[in-house]
Amino acid sequence: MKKEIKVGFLGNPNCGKTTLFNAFTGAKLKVANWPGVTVEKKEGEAKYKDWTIKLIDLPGIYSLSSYSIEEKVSRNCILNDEVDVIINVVDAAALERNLYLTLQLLELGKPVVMALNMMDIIEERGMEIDLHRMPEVLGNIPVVPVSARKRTGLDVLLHAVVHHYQEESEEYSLKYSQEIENEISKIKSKLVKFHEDIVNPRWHAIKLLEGDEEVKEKYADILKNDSIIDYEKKIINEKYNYIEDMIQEVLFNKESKSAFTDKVDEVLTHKIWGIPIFLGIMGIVFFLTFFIGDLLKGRVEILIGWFSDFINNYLISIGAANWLKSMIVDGIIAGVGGILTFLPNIFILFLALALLEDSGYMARVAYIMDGIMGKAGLSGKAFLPMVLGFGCSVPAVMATRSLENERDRKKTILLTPFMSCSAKLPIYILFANMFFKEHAMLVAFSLYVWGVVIAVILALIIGKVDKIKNSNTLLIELPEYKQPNVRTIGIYVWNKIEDYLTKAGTTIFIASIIMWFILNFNMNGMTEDVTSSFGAMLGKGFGVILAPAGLGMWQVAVALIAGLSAKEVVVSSFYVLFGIGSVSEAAGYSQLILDLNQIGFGAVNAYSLMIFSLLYTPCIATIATIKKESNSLRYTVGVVLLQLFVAWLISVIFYQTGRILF
Amino acid sequence: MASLLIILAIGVYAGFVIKRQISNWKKGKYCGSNCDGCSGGCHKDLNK
Repeated sequence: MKKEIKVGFLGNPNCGKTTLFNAFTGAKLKVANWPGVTVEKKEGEAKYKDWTIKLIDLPGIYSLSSYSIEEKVSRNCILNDEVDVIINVVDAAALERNLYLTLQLLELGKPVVMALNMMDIIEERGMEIDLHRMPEVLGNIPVVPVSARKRTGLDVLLHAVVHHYQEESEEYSLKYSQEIENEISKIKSKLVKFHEDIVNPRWHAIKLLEGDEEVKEKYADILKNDSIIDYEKKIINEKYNYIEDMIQEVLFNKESKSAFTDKVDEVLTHKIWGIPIFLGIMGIVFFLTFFIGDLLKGRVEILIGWFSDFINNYLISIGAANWLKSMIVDGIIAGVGGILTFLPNIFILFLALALLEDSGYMARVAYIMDGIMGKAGLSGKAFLPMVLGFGCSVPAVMATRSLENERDRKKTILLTPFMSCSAKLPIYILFANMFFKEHAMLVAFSLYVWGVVIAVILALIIGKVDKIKNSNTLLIELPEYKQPNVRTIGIYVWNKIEDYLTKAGTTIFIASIIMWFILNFNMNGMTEDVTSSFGAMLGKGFGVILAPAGLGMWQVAVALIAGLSAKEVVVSSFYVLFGIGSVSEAAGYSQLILDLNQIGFGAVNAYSLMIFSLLYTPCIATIATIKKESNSLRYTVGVVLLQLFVAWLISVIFYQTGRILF
Repeated sequence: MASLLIILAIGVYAGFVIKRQISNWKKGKYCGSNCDGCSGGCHKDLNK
């Protein structure tokens, strides 16, 4: 017989569930030191002796009476009987808050095993937890101290899961005051009478007393003749009173807390200095991305230049047709190779972002942005998806699920793509280096700042237009600062690099061939005259609209249209458009600058192009994700049109102002 | 002959890539790659 147990990881946000899940399954799911990173449940598998343990990583929740999408996912997974055992991951350093969910989980009547995570932090702070008394006050559930980051206690945890599952332990539930217990009994007997097949009537009775909307709807017949008094506040108070008593029994030296985190926060989240410090930190990230990245970039360029020459000579030696040589060297190698040269910059950028995320700093960014976002009718929490947008707009749009309010969510989805995702970085590096030389880094940094500024301005405008105001209070837990974990950073950076390489080998590969085709063919077949090609025809049509922004050249228009497939394609298109086979800085850049100057494209045009690239619809994958998340074609079309309009308008303003000034 | 083989190889690879992209899109995997583990459509969507 197959021995299988389905186990769900449940706990408060940012308590280390995904780190634990990754440690068990060898998965490489994203983890970060802020709440709300996991927004969907994910499955994996682990082996323990002859048992197969199916593991489900669930989004973090504070209670089982929650209403954001991610919280519903966790709650429904448990209620729909999808797990046999719950591993309740508890942050030992924040025991009081975490135990509230534990008490609710115990009421569900499922076997619960507690994984007491972050015990290393407890030790560092000089606190102590009585691990013998703890299970006793929680109905004898197994309590296993673990460290997800250091990977300790993992086998013991799986052993406890198997043992507890086989043991069929007694159900445990907190006993409330007599008044509440009487009400629970009354409702429970009614539930059993009218719904014979009901599982765990006590839990349902408690939820009805708490006024849980979903349960109320499901058992409306129970409420038909009786109006149930809302006991929610009383039940919460009694739970916290119990937790308080429990803490006194199991936790020692509670007062010791991390003075380091408090001291650092006094500076980093300062009312006035918080935002300048954030900008300064991002400036340092840019400095590293440009200077160290460029040093390594030169090596990759030489390698790709050498490869391009080698293939070119080989194709000549075998007598390959000119068109084939052109397609491979000027199309595929120019396009894909051009993109690969930016790999070192991407690596440095993500390494720096990963360090900031894992240290706990990024959660502070939401906190310091709360004031500004609040003026736009959004909470600082809306800024977290935007921070994710510095990596990729797709997960950033998904991350808006952590926002409870649908209206806030739609506003945030609209603003998130204005952040400079990693795909835009090659555009900035190429054009900033070509046209702004020693000021290149400053120019690229300005684009990142403009992205944030324009998103905030647009949020403020929407806030003014939107008549429905939400009272948004930022409730975000600021995690402890901690030393970044090498494995977490490794997973994060490798995922990004793998993503970039996959994109180069798939989307950019196909886009480069298509680009080469539309530039070398017209209705009469292959053509030597690029101005009569399909590409030129297409570009000239759109060029008219882009002309006021200084982007009227058909080549630029074609590159921007192609960029809808993926933003990196804007860069690869330029290489294909101008036939830059050798991408090495000396030869490739000079030739490209020369070619661009010939069509009247200078520094002001380049800045306008970067602004347009920053703001226009990021890519087709993001559009599809917006459609999926909003479930509205009308909203998606609206977002795309607004982004295109904003990109056009701001580019026109920059170009026309730049033309007057320079 | 070598040219023909090169064209064939590029054609087969391009066909494979396009087929993979279409199949990913049908499954809701819009990124076509790893994304960053956010399960933004790139992992099995268990919420439906």
